[in-house]
Amino acid sequence: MTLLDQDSNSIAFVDVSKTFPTARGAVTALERLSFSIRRGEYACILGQSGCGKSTTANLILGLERPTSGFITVAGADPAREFARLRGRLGSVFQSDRLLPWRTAIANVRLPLEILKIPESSLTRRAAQWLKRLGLEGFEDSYPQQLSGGMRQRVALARALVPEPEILVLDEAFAHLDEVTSERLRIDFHRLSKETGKTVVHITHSIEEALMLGDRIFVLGKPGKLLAVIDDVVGKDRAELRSDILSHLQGAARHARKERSSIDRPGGRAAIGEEWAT
Amino acid sequence: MSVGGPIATVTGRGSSTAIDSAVPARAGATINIEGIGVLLGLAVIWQIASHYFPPFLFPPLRTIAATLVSTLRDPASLSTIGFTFVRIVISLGMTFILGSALGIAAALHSRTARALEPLIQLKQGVPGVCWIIFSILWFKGMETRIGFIVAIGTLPSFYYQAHDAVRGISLDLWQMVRAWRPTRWQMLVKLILPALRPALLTAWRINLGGGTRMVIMAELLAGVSGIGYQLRAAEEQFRMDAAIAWTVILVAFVLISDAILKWVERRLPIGALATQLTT
Repeated sequence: MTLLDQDSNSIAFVDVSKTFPTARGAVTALERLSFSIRRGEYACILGQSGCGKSTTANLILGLERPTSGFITVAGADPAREFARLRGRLGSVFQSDRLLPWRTAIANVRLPLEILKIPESSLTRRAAQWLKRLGLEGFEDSYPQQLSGGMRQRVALARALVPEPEILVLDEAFAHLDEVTSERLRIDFHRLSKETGKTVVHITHSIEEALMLGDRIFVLGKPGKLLAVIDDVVGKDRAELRSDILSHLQGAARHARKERSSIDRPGGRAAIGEEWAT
Repeated sequence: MSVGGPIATVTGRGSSTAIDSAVPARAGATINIEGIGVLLGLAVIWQIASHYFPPFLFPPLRTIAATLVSTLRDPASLSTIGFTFVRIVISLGMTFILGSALGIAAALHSRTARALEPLIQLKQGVPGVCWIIFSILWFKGMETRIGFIVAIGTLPSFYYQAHDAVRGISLDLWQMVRAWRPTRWQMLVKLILPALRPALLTAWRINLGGGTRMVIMAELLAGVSGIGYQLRAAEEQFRMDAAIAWTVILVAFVLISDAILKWVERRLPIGALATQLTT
């Protein structure tokens, strides 16, 4: 099976690099990243802050374009074939990103309006999803009238209402209190499995990745794939945890070493020579 | 897609506490006793002055009130008022559409912004009265002159309000809506225009007074109809009572229009003002 095998793969990154120009020079967010996510798989992308996780999510969603390499999502280039993936991708971000001038139900309706779903079923479908997520009776509340957990449920309902094939969650439960976050995680995981969706779940929590993921992709700085943990379900969690930690700590040690070699007299020149070759 | 039953529950209606606390309190209307006192004091001084000065300087309040009533009862005067108000509304409306459209375009396309910037700055540097003279020299028709003067005077405000409001939309919201892959038109009607509402209402409130002044000035200097023209006629006939009656009508128009805009603003969804989140 190759990375671009569209029958089995839902998402493929091939040699993807992404750099951002800044005032202090280009910053590398991802470096030659290659991986694929299978259809119906719950994949967790795990890494520390600043390792390019959110950039990966934005690239999948087509919100950014790679500097080099290419990406396919459901057989299409997510940034260039913009309309082709309309309605096939859903997303939930760390903050709920609800439109403050819309009520809960109007926020959930948004993707359906964009998909030009007939008006007759718009509100019914949105209301059904709010009910499924335990928000019956709050349809006409504005986001600032809801608690953080409730707002995130509205965001989940909005992501699920168009019934997308692929869901991208970028630290979606990260800033909720532990009880709410745990409950939402369990509910969402069950829901995604019941509906056979491909899920890309970006997280910095090892526990969350171990709890939810079928596979875990461990990213290190700057946006390098350190390890892929296959078949997470059924394996010893403590062992996996220590395995992931050793990968992350190894990457951190390597990054420190690189920094110190840059800081040494002649270090920058040495690196410059290396690039020149 | 089918899923079994409600997959989660919330903590019941107890969250209504959060709801109540999140709703911004709206200040109730209060009577400005001090302001009313000052106005009454001015009226008393005016009335006293009317006993010592000729009527073309300080006509008695009773005369002013009688002129105001007769003006409001006279069909010809009402059509004069109508002319001026329609001019103000149409000129401002057209400038609003043009200025907002240019502001949105400039916020979305840096090349458009760069192209428009010198023009806006040039306009800002030229005094308003110069534009009135230019309009008299350039245009023959009264309505064209007025439209031009109002457009020149108020366009930058609509432009900058729209431009800054679009630039102020949170990046999070841009990305969220874009992730659903809307068309450009959908992006405009689902995100940009709703996010602009508070800023554009503010621009209307700012420009209403300014636009009214410009229309009156244009009618005064170059008009053959409208309230400005009537003010000039009152000045030529030394009719201070008529000048004040027309001025009162103008002030009432501005205050009523502002009250309507405030009412519209209050009717906006409570979250509309929270659009400009941090990026």
